[in-house]
Amino acid sequence: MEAMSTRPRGSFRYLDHTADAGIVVTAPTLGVLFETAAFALTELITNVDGLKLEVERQIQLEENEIETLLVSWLQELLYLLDTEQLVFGRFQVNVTDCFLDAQVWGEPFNSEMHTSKTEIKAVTYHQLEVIESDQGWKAKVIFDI
Amino acid sequence: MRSGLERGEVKGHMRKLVDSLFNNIPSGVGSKRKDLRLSKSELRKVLVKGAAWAVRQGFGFDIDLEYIEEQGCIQGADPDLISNRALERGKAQLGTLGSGNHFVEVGYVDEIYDESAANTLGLFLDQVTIIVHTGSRGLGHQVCDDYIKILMQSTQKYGIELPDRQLCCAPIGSKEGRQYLAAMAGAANYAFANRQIIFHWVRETFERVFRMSSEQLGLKLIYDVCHNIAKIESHRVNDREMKVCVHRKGATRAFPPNHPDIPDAYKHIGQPVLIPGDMGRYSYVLVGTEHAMKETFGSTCHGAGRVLSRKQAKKVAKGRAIIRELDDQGITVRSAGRGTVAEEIPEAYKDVGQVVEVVYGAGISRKVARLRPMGVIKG
Repeated sequence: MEAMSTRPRGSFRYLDHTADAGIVVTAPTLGVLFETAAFALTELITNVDGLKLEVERQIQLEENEIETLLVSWLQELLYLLDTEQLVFGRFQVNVTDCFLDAQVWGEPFNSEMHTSKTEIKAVTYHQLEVIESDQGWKAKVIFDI
Repeated sequence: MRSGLERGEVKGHMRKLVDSLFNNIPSGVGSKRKDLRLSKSELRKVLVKGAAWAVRQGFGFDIDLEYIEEQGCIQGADPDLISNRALERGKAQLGTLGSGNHFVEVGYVDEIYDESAANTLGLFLDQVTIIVHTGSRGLGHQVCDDYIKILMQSTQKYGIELPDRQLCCAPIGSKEGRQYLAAMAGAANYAFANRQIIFHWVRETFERVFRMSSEQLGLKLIYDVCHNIAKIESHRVNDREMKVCVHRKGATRAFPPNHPDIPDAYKHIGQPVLIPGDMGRYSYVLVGTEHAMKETFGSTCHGAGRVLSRKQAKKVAKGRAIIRELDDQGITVRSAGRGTVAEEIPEAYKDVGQVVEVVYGAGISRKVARLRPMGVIKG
């Protein structure tokens, strides 16, 4: 395992939203879609580049819908930040039938070493979308900040 | 909070004061105070007792509780209805400010509109004041996330149709409804305790910077209000006294004079309402009115509201030294988050003066005083 963060293969952009922040993510597969969404979320909180990958966590989640699974996945990352101060720079995600199996790598956030951008209060269901198209997958998520 | 200090007495100490507030009150991503550690059983007490728990631990005084909405404790909170995940998040974050629009602001009274009401609240021209804006932190959000999942099912169960996925509901009297209200009360109590702890650290910081006791400095709580909560209250509906559930989202309670739920000392003027503005302009102290009781279930506005998105605000701030610009206007700012100051530039918000004129014009609040910022810490 290399020591530094890795950018997922999907692409993302931030949405302009008056009170909140949002992301639109596109990716060839569902797994990469989830990895890219996690990367985009973390990039709102701190600079992902340069995060050390010294802590590893396994995350498994199951939901009834793919949209809810995406929300739960991002909420899980916020939970690990709130409880163990962990921020992650590398994500490896497999999604099959609304079941997620992920491995993430990162380190504890340290305000002296890492850039503090903004704290994300919550992942919302507002305007939530996960769509499959000819090009692959696309998702939209709004965060409460 | 008010102080006995005048603007001129603190002006020369602002940098030191803001730096000390910044160091004493954890803010920004992943922040916490190393000297405040909570066990889960202790946290459960926080959820049941609210601000009173903080006072028992030595954070502030009994008298503070009289000046908090619901005396800093909403009855009926049940920690058993709050998930382990919420407790885990809450354990690490009690006594932290957060980020985004949360702040501690030191300011001064720059205009008085109602001399007699200002007198009752202990406010005078040029007096130094402090505003604290924070809430239930990750614990509150976890309670929200947990109950959205439950209530989404009850929306279906009770055959209710709603236009957005973020919306869900259940009848108040249903099991789900009652459980949510008991969990929400716990989160609200956590927020009351969180603010009480931060008030205490504000007092400690002033004591250290000015080498005087909190009593000598006259640091007293004027009022603490919620702006995102559902409460069971009595209101007159169609000429009949009814118990209703009032949900104030981005709104503040504004009870009129002589309402039983406001402090005795304020009975004849009505409940104080604090309307924070942006960090460059001003904030307001208002009081509730009888008209608000009739028109808005005893509610008024909560703040300025954004006019620019965070991205637009950053664009407007690009290439500008915002902290220096504010410093030139006599406002010292410190922020944990890179980008927070740019996202929170004054232009990003509506002019709160106009917002206040609207609620004043509508008769749902009366203006008492205007406060101007001198120093701000942000997450």
